[in-house]
Amino acid sequence: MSEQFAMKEHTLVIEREFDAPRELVWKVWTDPDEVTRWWGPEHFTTPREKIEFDLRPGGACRLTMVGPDGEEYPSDGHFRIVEPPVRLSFGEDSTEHPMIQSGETTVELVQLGESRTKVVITSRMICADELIGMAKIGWGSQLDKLEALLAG
Amino acid sequence: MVAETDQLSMTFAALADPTRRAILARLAEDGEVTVNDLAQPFSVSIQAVSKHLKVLEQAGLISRVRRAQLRPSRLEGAPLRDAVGWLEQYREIWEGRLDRLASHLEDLQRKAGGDE
Repeated sequence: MSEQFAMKEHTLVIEREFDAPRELVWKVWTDPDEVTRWWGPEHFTTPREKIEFDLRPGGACRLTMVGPDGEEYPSDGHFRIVEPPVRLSFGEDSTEHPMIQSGETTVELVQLGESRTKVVITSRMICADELIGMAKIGWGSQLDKLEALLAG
Repeated sequence: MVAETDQLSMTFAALADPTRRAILARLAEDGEVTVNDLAQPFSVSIQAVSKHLKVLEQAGLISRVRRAQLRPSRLEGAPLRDAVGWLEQYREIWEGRLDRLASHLEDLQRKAGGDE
């Protein structure tokens, strides 16, 4: 393929507050026995035996999601930052689409109270400039939403 | 699922070329445009433009009017929106994941707290 996309970094930030102590939130993010209970998009499962975490910088971060039709979606990445119970980051694998590559996801746990924790997920994605260019041409509300998304 | 991915791949492949993107931008502005009109601002032949239009048409990004001799081209928005929407799905996946995380945390604490 002679045609290459110019890839550029874009950041997606998602925040959510939970009624739970920070230590517990850390545990459910990093213990495979817990991760299997909630990871994976709706109608997907992440079987316990398909999660392999080596929780240290450079350690393996592998898991496989199984779709409703039984199809498997493995991801093979590494942990980068492991600072319990405050900060965790891991690299995600590239997507199957030539215009989007995933980058790194950082999870920060902010203690708001004894049993209140804010989770800030920062996902730095590498994706093609073209997607942004299209947003500028203006194709309706979906693109407006995209712009807001990319503006973070 | 497979068909969707194929459509996305075709969309992305069609968008990979700067001339094709310029053609799409032109169609977005002007509505229906003939191959002759399209060839003018680009330093390419009508044959080359026709080739690009074929790729865009196969990817479903444009449609061409059959009735007229010049077969003007017109933009089809849906596949483009799908390509862009893919990025948005990424956020939705995270939001869904956090919903489940919240209910899992609730379960855990209810169990730990017993029947207080």
